[in-house]
This record gives sequence, C-alpha cells and structure tokens, in this order.
Amino acid sequence: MSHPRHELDDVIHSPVRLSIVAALAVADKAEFALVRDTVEITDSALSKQLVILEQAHYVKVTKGHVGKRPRTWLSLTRVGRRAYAKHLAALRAIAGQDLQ
Amino acid sequence: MDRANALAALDDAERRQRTIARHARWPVVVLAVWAVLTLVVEIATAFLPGIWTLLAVALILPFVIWTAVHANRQRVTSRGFAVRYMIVVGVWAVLHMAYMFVLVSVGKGNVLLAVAGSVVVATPLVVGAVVEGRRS
Repeated sequence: MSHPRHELDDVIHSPVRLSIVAALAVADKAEFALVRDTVEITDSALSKQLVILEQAHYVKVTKGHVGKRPRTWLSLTRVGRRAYAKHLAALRAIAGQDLQ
Repeated sequence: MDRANALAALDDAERRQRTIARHARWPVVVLAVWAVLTLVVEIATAFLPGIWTLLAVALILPFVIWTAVHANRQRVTSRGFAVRYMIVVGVWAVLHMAYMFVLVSVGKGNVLLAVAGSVVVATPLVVGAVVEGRRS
C-alpha cells in the first residue's frame, strides 16, 4: 500500500494556496478582499496564487459591481472541490497514520 | 510531509474556514427578522378588516426586496445557501397561502387560529435561521 503523501495535490500543497482553497471551500462565492484578509496576504500575492489556481481549473474568478463599486468574486470549481477533498483526506491519513 | 506538518495544515485550513464562515452568518439575522415580521403580519392579517390586509403585504414586500439587495451586497455567500434559501422561501409561501385559505374559509378574528397559523408560517424561517447559525 502506497504512502498517503502520494495522494497530496501538487497545486494545493503550497500553504498559501491551501489557505485560499480552504477559505473558499465553505462558500459558494467570496469577495477577493475578504479572502485576502482571511489568508493574510497582499493583493498581488493573492492575484499571483489565483492565476495558478485558475490554470489548474480549481478557482473561478468573476468580476462584477455592487452599486458603483467594482468587486471580484472567487469561487471553487467542482474540480477544485474534488481536489481539496482528496488533499484533505491525504492530510488526515498522514496525520492518522503516524499515530499508529 | 510528516504528521506534525499534516496536522498544522489541517489546523490552518480549519481556521480559514471558520473565519469565512463567521462572515457568512448574515442569513441568520435576515431569516430571524423575517420570522418576527411574519408573526406580526400574519396575526395582524387575521384581525385587520378588508383593505387593511394590504398593509401586511406592504410590509412584507419591501422586506423581500431589501433582502435581495442586502444578499447581493454581502462579501460571502455560504456553500449551498441559495438552494436552502429557496426551499425556506418556497415552504414559507406554501404555508402562507394555506394560512390565507384557512382564514378565508373559517373567517377572521379567531385568536387561536391567528396565533397557531402565524407560528406555523414562521416556522420554516426559524428553522432556516437555526440551520444557517449551526453551519457558521
């Protein structure tokens, strides 16, 4: 039987990207600024990580307006949710495996 | 990756999720306010004569519109909220129509019917508020 670390997702494995995906996992959609504050990174750092997550088809970025103010919404795609669930399962397996 | 790293990653993910979930608590307030408004309006409808029942609609309608605008302005929408909200609104609408039907059939001015009916109509909103509160 292979070690659960082989099940870890290469894209989500980065701590910052894991935080972003985790934040989005409980939401249908979340505002860019809220995710930035939650993950405690800068606008540019979040944008950079979002490009990687978008390229992996894990995150969808939608631009819109609330009144006259422009807003950017982030949401996890179905592929992203599956990858996150698999990654979490691998992390739990690693955490549990070493307990035995 | 070892056990300590995995536990740290899981803990971090859990913390981020809790932070976002805290910002997604706004439906609890909306549904609770709507439940109270429903109680007042449904009881009033049972006693107000003729044209004054329109006052009840005049109270509910702006609230429903405000709810839509308010929801659109929020920074986060919790996972699956739209479906849960539609179910709550759908059940509320069916119960409201049933209550109106009973009111017309039995006649206005019945205190027991007014109180029991308004509580029944408000129940899906209270349940919705509790469910949203537990999720966040």
